[in-house]
Amino acid sequence: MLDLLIDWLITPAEINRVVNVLYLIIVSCIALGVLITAIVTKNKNGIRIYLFSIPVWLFIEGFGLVTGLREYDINGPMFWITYIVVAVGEDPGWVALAYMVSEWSLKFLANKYPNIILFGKG
Amino acid sequence: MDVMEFLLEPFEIQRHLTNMYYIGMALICVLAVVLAYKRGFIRVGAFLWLSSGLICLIWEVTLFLIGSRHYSFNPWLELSYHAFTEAGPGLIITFVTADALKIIDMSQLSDASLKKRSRKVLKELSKKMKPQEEDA
Repeated sequence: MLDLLIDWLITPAEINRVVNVLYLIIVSCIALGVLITAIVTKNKNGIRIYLFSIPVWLFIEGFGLVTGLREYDINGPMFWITYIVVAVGEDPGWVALAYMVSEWSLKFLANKYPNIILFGKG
Repeated sequence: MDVMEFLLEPFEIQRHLTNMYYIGMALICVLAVVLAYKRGFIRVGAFLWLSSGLICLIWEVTLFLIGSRHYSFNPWLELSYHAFTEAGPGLIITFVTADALKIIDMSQLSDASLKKRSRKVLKELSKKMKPQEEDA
């Protein structure tokens, strides 16, 4: 039984993403849009969390590439462009977007439907 | 190579993992919940998890449906698990860390602060309601 469990645990799995330059442009635009929105709305936390996420994701993505957990099937400058777009644009962009959506939703609920916020013990 | 070819030439980003990864994500979820509870960020944590999970789900489903995303196991099960465990807990841990390092200020979104604001709104609402009741 234990052998079966260990076998299952170490069974290789893969998550692949087929991308292209258009994809990189689209995610860069989304990330830039999120950052510009944070700047225009003077959302300090949004801007700071975007900036904080850059070294975090440079490390995570870089760690994956160095250890072989992550692989790009391209060489040359596109390899580095992909790394930069993913770690500096895409992932920090999602982080900042998720934060801004959460912040807006929570403030909206606290002002319009306070009973929902007051629900529960925590 | 023309512009369209350059824009659309496919290449692959692969993530090699084992099934152990899914167990690891479950443990990170537990860690994120404990951290959110200890720091008094249950509400914002829940919203961060929900919003990032939904954003991730919409994005992943779109990629999967246009054939850009491939899973090696059960696609829909893996996709849902991936969307709801990868984004939220990591985000909560990022925010708790950034707040602890004073990079961001989450005091306005702490449970205590949100409850205070909600109570104030409720008080104002009941004040507004009283004169109307007296008039009636």
